Amino acid sequence: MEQTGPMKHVTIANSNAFILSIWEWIVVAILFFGITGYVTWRWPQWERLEPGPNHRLNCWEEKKSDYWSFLRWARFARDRYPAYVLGDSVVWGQAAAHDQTISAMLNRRAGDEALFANMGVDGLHPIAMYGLLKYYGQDIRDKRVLLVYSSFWSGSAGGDLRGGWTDFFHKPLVPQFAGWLTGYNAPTEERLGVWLEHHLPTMGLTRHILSNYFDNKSVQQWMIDNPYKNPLARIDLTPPALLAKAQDTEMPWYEREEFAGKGARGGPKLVSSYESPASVSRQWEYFRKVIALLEAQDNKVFVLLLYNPYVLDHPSRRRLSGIMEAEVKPWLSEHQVPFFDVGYRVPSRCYVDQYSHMTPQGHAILTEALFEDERFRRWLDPVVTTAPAEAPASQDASGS
Amino acid sequence: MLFHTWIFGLFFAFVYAVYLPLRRTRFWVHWLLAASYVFYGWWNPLYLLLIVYSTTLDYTVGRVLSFTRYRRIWLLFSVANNLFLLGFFKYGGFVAENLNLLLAKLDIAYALPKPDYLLPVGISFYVFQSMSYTIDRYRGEVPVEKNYVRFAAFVSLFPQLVAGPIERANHLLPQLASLPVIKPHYLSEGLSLFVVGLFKKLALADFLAMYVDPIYTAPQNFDTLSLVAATFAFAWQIYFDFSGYTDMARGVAKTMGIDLMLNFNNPYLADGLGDFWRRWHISLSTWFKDYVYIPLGGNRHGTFSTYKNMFLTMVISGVWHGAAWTFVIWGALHGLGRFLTRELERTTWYELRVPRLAKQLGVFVFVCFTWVFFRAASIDQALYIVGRIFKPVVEIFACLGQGRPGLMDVFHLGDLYLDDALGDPRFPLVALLFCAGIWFYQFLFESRLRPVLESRVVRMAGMLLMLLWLMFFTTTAIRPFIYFQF
Repeated sequence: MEQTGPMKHVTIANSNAFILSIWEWIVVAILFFGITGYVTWRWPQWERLEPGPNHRLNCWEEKKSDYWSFLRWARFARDRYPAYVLGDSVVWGQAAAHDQTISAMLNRRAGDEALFANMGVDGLHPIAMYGLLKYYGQDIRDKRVLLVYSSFWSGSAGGDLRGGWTDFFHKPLVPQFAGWLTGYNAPTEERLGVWLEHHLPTMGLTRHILSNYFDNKSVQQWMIDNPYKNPLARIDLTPPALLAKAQDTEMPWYEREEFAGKGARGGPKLVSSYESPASVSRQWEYFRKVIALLEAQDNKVFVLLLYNPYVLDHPSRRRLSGIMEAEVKPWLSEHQVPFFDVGYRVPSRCYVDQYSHMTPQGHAILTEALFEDERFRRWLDPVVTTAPAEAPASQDASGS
Repeated sequence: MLFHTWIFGLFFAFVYAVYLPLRRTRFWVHWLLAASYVFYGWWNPLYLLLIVYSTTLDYTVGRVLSFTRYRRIWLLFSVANNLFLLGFFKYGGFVAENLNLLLAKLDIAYALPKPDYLLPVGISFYVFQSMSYTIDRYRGEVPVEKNYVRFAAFVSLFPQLVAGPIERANHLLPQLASLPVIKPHYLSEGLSLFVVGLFKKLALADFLAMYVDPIYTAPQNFDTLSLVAATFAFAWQIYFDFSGYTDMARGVAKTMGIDLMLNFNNPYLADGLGDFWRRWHISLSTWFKDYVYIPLGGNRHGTFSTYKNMFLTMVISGVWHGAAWTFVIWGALHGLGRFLTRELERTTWYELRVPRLAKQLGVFVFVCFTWVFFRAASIDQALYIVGRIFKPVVEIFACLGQGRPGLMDVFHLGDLYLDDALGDPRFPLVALLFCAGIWFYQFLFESRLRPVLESRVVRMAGMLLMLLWLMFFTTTAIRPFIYFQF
């Protein structure tokens, strides 16, 4: 198997001709990194994102791990929105259409449809939120950020990711090599792959392409499922479609099957939660890290303390209140982070579940309550100067 | 630890960073051995005991053979020990299962316990490599290795430890005896081999596995054409999987200044079964030739003895691959095939009149047929698949045998089977293009057009496309190599 011609330098027997010299490798490496870099750089121009008012990320089902889209949405919003609303599906608006979310209501109330950008991501525990901002949130800089603290996460050890709960979303965003979570048992190999995906932009783009065009499967798996289709033709450069409709109904929580008539004296079944103080809570720990990260990027943070108090039994309400008053609010005050505790301002009928998801009416009531709040207006000023409107009905007796 | 994982990338980066300065000192082999043991112990540190035992045994016997009068006894002691290791860990369950069947047939109310330990990864490879040294020492073909660390590094060299190539002492030990030379182009050659191997594994073998696995898991749910397509796909899957591993192993070793032997040489271009075995898993084929076929008598005692030896060698080769009757049958089929074709291949008519392409296709089809037994989970399943594949042919011949039907009758029969047997195999067109393209490439590589493939543009463009495909299109799930189970 003696080599001649351009391969005469080769010292190893081989059954194909793909042996490159050092100089050829250098050229191939330049071309490879040039092409991947160019594709990564140009992709946002090829796959044009032209969101209308009240845009929200398509982050459901197979698009859940498309964090590159978050990065691009944050980048897009950087030049168009002075403020972001950041949080989980409560912000995204699970039980609301895209123009009825918290950010949409805030915009409508302020009379400016380009004031608040909806940066909600479904299932985003603060641990994952910290990862999302760390790796994909560099463009959230020098903004007003309305940060929603959905306290239901810390209601139980499982939800707070302190226990062995393994079935949680956004595993790629939790710490891979520090601050181990007992419920996250990915092998080292997977953790390394995730870490690289966060640090190599092209790998993040690849994940976006797979989730957007190939049902979040590898291209090979997609070709197995679609054996006679051309995978390249599948990439039609259409950005993820806007999920305009609500993903949940507006039925109040106490009418839902899991609660209705299952409690004492035929009332709704109430939930027992908040056994542990905030000092041991993962949510609280990472929420503070999120605030620190946002402030380090010159953002002005306003915290919205949000929970559905009506779904809790009496001891749980007392415990939650204790946590809020003794730990959460003092820390926020001490660190000069303005906040607004929603408490009972939103009526029970406006919550659709125990996870604080609200109906559009709840969003409207919350918006009015916020604009009534002096700290909120001061925080928003001078981005927008507002006056309180007519006071809305803010109490509801059905669940309290 | 698998070559196509990030962990191996980190492992090798660390090993190589220390290896480079150490290669100018006598401690380079110590480092190589330490790295190899870490690599192997990654699966299960307890398995290291086995490899240390095998190493110590053959090192000791190798030294004793220099002065003892009882050379044959020492050789037998080593071979028996090595075969016991293999037999206990690899074939224990198989033997117990079959003895229990026998006892049940004889109405003896006793059952041997079935061992529940895991098969140590790559045991068949390193035991054969270690054993070959002792046999070569006995034959006086290699000098004694007095340095234990060097010998241990020879047995456990991590690039080829778990799936070969099975190196010989006279090829690898001299390389470990002197300080390694690493020239700049060794790096580029090693990297080239590694990327090609990675592409074969991730882009091709794992892709085809996605098609093959569901069909071979439940063949009763698929029609004839799907079974044919899955068998064809498996033929390429196992080639890409195993030769991909070998390419990566040779590439890694090359960057360290160590040459490992060529293990695959475009086997599906073989124009005879003998030729196939000179191209497929070359290190194992030559091992069996040198240590089984020739000691059995080779072709020295007449035609019958030659075929008997060939058949036995192939059956043993089948057993080496796995502890199941399917592997025995696979080996026996190759032995039988060799028996049936060897005389034919010697005739002038076959040699001159039959086009080479036809011979190559014939060999490929036969090899594909044998892969059914290799891949199937049991003999019953293999026979079901074979029966299902040949059912339309058998039915057509049966119809023809009932009289002299016209052409339309045969077409009508075809219609009957069209829905049942010839459904949509849903074989990915891209995979088909890959297999056909690579086959065509290999044809060109062995033709007068080879210089075109060796041109700078073709090589660089090919490498670039492979890298881009790996970057954007390959699966993220990690599948182990098929040959690890052997």
